[in-house]
Amino acid sequence: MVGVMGPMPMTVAVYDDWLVLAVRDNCDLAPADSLAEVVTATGMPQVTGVRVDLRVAVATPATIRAVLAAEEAARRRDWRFRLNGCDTLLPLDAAAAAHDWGGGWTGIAPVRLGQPDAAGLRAGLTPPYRAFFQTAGGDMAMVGARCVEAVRRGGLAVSVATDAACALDIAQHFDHAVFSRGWRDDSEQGNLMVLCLAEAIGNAIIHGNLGMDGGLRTGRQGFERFSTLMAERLGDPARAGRRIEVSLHPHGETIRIAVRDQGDGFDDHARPDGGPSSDTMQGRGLSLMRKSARQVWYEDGGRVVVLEFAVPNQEQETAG
Amino acid sequence: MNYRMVATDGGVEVSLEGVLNFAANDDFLSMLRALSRDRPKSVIFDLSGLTGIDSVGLGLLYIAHEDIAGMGAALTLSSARDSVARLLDLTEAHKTFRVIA
Repeated sequence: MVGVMGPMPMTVAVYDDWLVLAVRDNCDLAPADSLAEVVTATGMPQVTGVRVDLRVAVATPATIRAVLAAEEAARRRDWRFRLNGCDTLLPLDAAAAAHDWGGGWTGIAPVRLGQPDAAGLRAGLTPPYRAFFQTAGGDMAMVGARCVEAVRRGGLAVSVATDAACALDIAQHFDHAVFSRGWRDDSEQGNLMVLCLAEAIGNAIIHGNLGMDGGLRTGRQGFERFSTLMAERLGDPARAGRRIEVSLHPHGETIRIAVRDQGDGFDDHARPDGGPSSDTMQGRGLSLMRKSARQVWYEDGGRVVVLEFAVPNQEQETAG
Repeated sequence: MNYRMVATDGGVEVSLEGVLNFAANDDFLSMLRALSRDRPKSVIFDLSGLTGIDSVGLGLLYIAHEDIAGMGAALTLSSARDSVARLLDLTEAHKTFRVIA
């Protein structure tokens, strides 16, 4: 079973043997765009064992909504994926599509799009959704390829601007999603994950996208300067608009969580590591990450930190 | 992060709520300024309302410790839970702060 996300302003996918067409509110499909043409364009006829609802004869947004609404009423089905123009669907890759994620979703992953707030972020990380992407008008161009790939492989992802990342507690929401899907347990080690994520995200924001020197945070005067400079940099649209992206990639008996920024990067080998010291006020971040994760490494010139954790058991996600 | 200050017998109890991280600078520094004005004899930070913390937030606690010690007062960290308690343990905060359950 596959779904297809094409360049057209709509998404075609398979849900419980029904063809689902998700149409953005601003899409402008001509009445002549028949379902058959859409199916041909997206390659859906190659999918076997899928029953296409040919009653959706003309694929205008209004028609699709009306048909799905009628189906929902008639079949008493909870169409949890609302075609409200704030969501999209991504196809899972072959390996992920073969996995039973539960919840009745086959081969596709719903993604929440829109302006960032806590409710949207929480919803985007709650089944059946697998991601929250901050977008303007559903434009996925600003979302990094690593996030899309994570979702297609059955993982999770968040992509938001820096100013939004400062206002949202991404680490807590992401950690909760990882726990609820069985990728971490309630052990002492498992509970360190949220600390690890908080460090990685904080570093990406402060040192990555805002380009601030951690050495400022020495003593009260240093923190006063740090606070002032942080406010100034968040007031710069170019910096505040840089992306913070968190993506989870299932990888055998481990998960890999990547935190990506759009800063200048750094030389990993020159990075100071103060260790979990009780007498220094900085330099603990990397040490905490290394204490929590099985492995930590950097990619893309220091713009991506990858945290690898062991999965408690191989069943992984079953709650879907 | 939000905070609430309550005067006690010669001291102050400060309840911290929310997430103590890089985004909490302004509120935390505002609280420290208020403490500097009042110059209490003892300060208790009630951390039971904190849901998260990072190393920047931990650094803020160390700065508070320095400030309060400079006033001749003592800082006690109280009722940390979950990830906040774990971070305090990992970083051996008890060597610097008085930590109570």
